[in-house]
Amino acid sequence: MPECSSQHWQTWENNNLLKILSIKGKGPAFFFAEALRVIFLLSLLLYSTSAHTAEEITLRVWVMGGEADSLPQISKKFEQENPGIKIRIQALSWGGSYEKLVTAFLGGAPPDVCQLGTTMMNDFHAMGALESLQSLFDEHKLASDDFFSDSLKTCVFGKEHFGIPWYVDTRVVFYRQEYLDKFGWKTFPQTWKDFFKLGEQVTADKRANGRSTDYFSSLQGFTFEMFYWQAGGNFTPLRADHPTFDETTMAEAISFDRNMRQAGFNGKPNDSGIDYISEFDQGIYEVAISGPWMASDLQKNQHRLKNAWGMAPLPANKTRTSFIGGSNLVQFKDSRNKEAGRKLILFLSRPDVQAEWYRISSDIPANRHAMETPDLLNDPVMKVFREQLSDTHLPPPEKEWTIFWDRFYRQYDEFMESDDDVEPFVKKMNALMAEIIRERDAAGMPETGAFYWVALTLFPLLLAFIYVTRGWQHQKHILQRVLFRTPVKSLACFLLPALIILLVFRMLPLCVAFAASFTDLGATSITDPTRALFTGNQNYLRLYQDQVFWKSLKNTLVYLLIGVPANLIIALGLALAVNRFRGWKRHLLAMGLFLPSVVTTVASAVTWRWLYCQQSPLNIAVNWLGLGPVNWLNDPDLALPSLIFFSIWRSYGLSMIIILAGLELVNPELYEAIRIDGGNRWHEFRHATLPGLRRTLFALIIGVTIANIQFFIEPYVLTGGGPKDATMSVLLFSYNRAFGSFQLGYASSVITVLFVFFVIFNIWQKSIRQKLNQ
Amino acid sequence: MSNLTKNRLFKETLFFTFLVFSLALTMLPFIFMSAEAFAPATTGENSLWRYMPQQWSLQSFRQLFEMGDIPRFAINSMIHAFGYTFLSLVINALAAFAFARMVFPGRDRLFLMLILTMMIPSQVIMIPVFIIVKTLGLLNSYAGLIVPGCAHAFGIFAIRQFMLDLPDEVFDAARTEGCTDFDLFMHIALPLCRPILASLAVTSFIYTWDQFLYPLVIMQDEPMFTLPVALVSLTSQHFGRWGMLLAGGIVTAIPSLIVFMLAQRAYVAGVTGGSAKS
Repeated sequence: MPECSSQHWQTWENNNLLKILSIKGKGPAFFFAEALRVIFLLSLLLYSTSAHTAEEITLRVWVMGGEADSLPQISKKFEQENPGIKIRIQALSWGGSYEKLVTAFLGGAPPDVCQLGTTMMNDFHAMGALESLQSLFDEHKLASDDFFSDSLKTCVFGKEHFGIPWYVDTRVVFYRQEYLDKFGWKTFPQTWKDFFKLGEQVTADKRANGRSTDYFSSLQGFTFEMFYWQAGGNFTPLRADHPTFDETTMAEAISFDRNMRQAGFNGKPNDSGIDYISEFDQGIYEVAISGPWMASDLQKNQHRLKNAWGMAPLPANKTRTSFIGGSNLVQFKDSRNKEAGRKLILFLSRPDVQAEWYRISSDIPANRHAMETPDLLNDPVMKVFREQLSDTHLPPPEKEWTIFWDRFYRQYDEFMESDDDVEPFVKKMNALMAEIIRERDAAGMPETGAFYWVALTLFPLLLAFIYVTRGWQHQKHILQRVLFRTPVKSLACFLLPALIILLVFRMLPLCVAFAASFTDLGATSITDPTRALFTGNQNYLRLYQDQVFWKSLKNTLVYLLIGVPANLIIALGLALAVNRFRGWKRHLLAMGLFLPSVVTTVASAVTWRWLYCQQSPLNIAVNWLGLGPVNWLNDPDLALPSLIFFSIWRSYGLSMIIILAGLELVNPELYEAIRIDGGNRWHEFRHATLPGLRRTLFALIIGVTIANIQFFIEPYVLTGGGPKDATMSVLLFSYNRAFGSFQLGYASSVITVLFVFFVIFNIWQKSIRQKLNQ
Repeated sequence: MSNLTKNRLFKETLFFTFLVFSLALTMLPFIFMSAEAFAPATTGENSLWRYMPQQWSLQSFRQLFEMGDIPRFAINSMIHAFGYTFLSLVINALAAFAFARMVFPGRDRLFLMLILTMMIPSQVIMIPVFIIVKTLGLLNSYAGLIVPGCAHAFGIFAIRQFMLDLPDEVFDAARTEGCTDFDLFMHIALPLCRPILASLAVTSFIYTWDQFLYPLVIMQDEPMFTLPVALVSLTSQHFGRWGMLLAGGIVTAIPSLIVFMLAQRAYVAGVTGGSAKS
C-alpha cells in the first residue's frame, strides 16, 4: 500500500459510512438490530416507490421493438373502452427476446400479455409456461376459421389453444426501379432464371461503375427453406428410416444459392451504422427480400428514391413459396392480471382493430375478416402480400430442426465458397439429419432425481469440511487450550455472514455446475431439475466436437497472445515516461491516461461500436487518408483485432497506474550506484528498474491474463460473437448456450472446463511466484 | 554545464509533448462521443458542420429521457452500487476481524479455503448462481443483485492484512479494560482501518457501477434495469440512433466518474494495493 497523506483520510471523518459503523456499541445484538432496522427502512422505501394504487390494474405488455413503438396508439383506445386498466408496454429486441422471456418466466415475473414469435411457441409450451386460452373459443368469442389456418396451427397443442394469432408475416421482393428501367424489364422477374439474369446485369453494371456490387441484401432475406420449397421440396415428418431431403430437389436449391453467391450478388456485409432502409434508399443494394414493415418504412423514410421502387412476390422455380410466420399473443401461467389480459387479446384480434393496426404498424392482420375490409382490399401493398400469402408454408416445427440448422449452416457457408460437387454434400446433410433423429430416438436416458443433485453438490462441500476439520486434529494442543475460551456466539456473528454468502454463492455454484454438466438440464427441466436426464459424458463429447467452441478457444488465445503483451508494453513505456515528472504534470498525465479504465465499460463499448461504423469520425478520417471504407466489425479478419484494440485502449491505463506504484518501491540507491559506475539509462532500466518491478510485472501479467480470459463485454456489445464466430469468446459461447437457447447442462460443461483450467493456471502461477521470491 | 541542463530541459519537453499527445489520443473517443451526443441529429448526409459549437443541442438527451425511464435506472444503479459497497464493507470487515484478531480451531485452513474461492472469476459461475438465485426467489430483486457478490475473499484478505499490521498493544490494553470483541472491532479496529476501508469503498463503488453481465442476468424486468443494462438494451432496440445512445453513454458514465474525481487517491490505492504489496 503506497503511503497516503493523513490529511486525505481526515476527510473521511465525516463519512456517513463510518458514522453508521461506529454506533456506540453494546454488543452484537444491538449492532445487528441496528443493521436490520436500516435494511427494513430501505426496503420499505423501495417498496413504496414500486407499489401502485389498488383500484387501477396495470397490464404489463411485452412486444417486440417495432410493435412497441406503435402499440400506444391503439392501446389508448383500449384504455378508453376499459377504464381502470392501464397498459405498460415494454419493448423486446428480436435477438434477445428468447433469453428475456425464459428468464422472466423463471423469475416468476412474466408479462400479462406477450407477443411470441410463431417459432418460439413450441419451446414455451414445452416448458409449461403458457396459459391455455381455450376458454375464448369455448365461449364463442373467437372461432377457428377467423384466422389463417397455418397461423393458428402454431397455437394449438393437443386440442387446446395456447395463443391467438396477432399478425402474419411472409417475405416478398422489394426492388429499386432504376435497374429495371435500365435493362428494359417491364415487371420484376417472375422466375429464378430471370431473377439470376437481372442479377448479372446489375452486378456487371455496378462493377463497371466502381460501386459495391451488391445485388440483394442478405439482411432479412432468403432462407434455405424457401429455395427448397420453391424447387418443389417439402419437409415431411422426421423418420429414421427415410431420408429427410429429396436429393435432386435439394441439390437444385443448393446450386442455385451457390451460383448467386459466387456471382457476387451478396457483397460483403456493410456495417454502415445506418439502418437498412437508408442503405436501400442510397442504393447500396438493389433488391431486398423483406416483410411488410419495409413498405411503410420506405414510404416514411426515403430521401432519394422518390417512390422509384416496387414490390413483387418471390420469383418462382416450380412454385413461388415463401414461409409464413408472424406473432401470436400469449399469456403466461404466472401472469397476474389474466382477466384483463384476455380482454386486451380479444380487443387486439377484433377485425376493426386489426385493420387499424395494419394502418399503424403495417403488420398483416391474422384475422381473415380484417383482410376483407374495403380499405385493405384496395391497398396496393396488401395486394402483393395477398398474392404471396396464397403460396406459403410453415417452417418445420420439430425441435430437431434447430439442432440441424445450427450444424447445417456452419457447413453450408463453407460449401458455398467451394466448388465441390453438390451430391456428396446433400448426402452428408441427409446423414447428419439421420444422426440427429437417432439421437432423439435413443434418448432413453434415466432421470436424475433429487438424490443425484444433493449428492453431487454436497460431496465437494463435504470434502472442504473434512479438510478444515482435519486441521483441528493436528492442532489438538491448541484446540484444548482455545476451544473453551472461544466465544462461539460472537465468533459466529463475525464469521457467518461472509461464510454463508461465500458458501451459497461461490462454492455451491461450482458444485451445481459440476453436477449439471452431466445432465441435459434445459428449458423443459429448469422448473424441476430432478426431471433433467442424466446424460453422462455426452455434454463433454459434444463440446469436443463443437467447432464453435474450438473457435472460441482459439479466439481467446489470440486475444491473450496479442492483448497481454501489448497492454504491458504500452503501460510500461507510458509509466516510465510519466515517472520522470512530479507534481501536477504527473498527476494530470497519470489520471488522464487512467481514465478509459475508470469509465463504465458499457459506455465505452457503445462509443466504440459507433466509432467502428462506416459514418463515424474514425472512418471519415480513414477515408480521408485514402484507405477506403474499412469494415471494422463485419470483416471476419478485422473483427477480432478491432475488439482487441478497443480492449487494450480500455485497460492499459490501469496497468500503467499499477506499474507507477511499483516504481515507487524500487530502491533509489540502486540508480545512484549505477550512475557512479558510469552506467547509462539502459543499464539503469536493465539492472535497477526491471528487477525492481519483477514482482509487480508478474502480478500484472497474471491479473491481465485472468481478466482477458473473461473476454465478454467487448464481443457481446460490439459484435455478438460474429461475423462467422470470428469474435466468439469462451465466456460468450457459454453465455449464448445458457441464455440464448437455454441449454444449461451443456453450458455448465464449458464452465467446468474453464474452472479446471483456472485451477491449473493458479497452481502454475503459484510455483512461478515462489521461484521469483527466492 | 549549462549545455547539460539545456539538453535535459529539451528531453523533458520532448517526453512531455509525447505524453500529452498520447493523452490526447487516449481521450479522443470520449471527445468524439461528447461531440456526437451534443450534435443535432443527422439528416442523412454526414457533414462535420454538425459538430460546431453553435450547433450544440440537448436534443439527444431529451430523446434519451423520452425513450426510457432513465431516472429509475439511475436509482437502481445507485441502490446497487451503494447497497453493495455498504454491505460488502460490513460483512468483509467482520470476517476479516475474526481471521486477524481471534483465535479459533481450523482458522488458517478455513482462510485458505476462502482464498481459494478468489481464483474463480465471478463470470465463470454466473449460470449456477443464476439457478441458485432463481431457486431462492431473488430474481428481479435488489437483494438478488447485491447479496450474492458482497462477501468476497479479496476484501476479507485486504482488511485482514491491514488489521494484522495494527499494533497488538492497543488491543491487549483494551481487552484488559474489559472490552468485548465487538468493542474492539467497533472502537479500535474499524477506526484504525479507515484507509483500507475507504479505498475498498471507492473501488467497490466503481466496480459495482461498471458491472454488466450479472445485473443483465438477474434483473429481467425493465423497471429493475441498471444503467449499463438499460444502455445495452437501448442500443439493440434503437441501433443507428447514435446521438441518443452516446448521450446514454455519458449519463451512464458520469456518476462513477464523479466518485473517481472526488476520491482518486483512495481509488488508486485500492487498485494498486494488491500488487504493490505482494
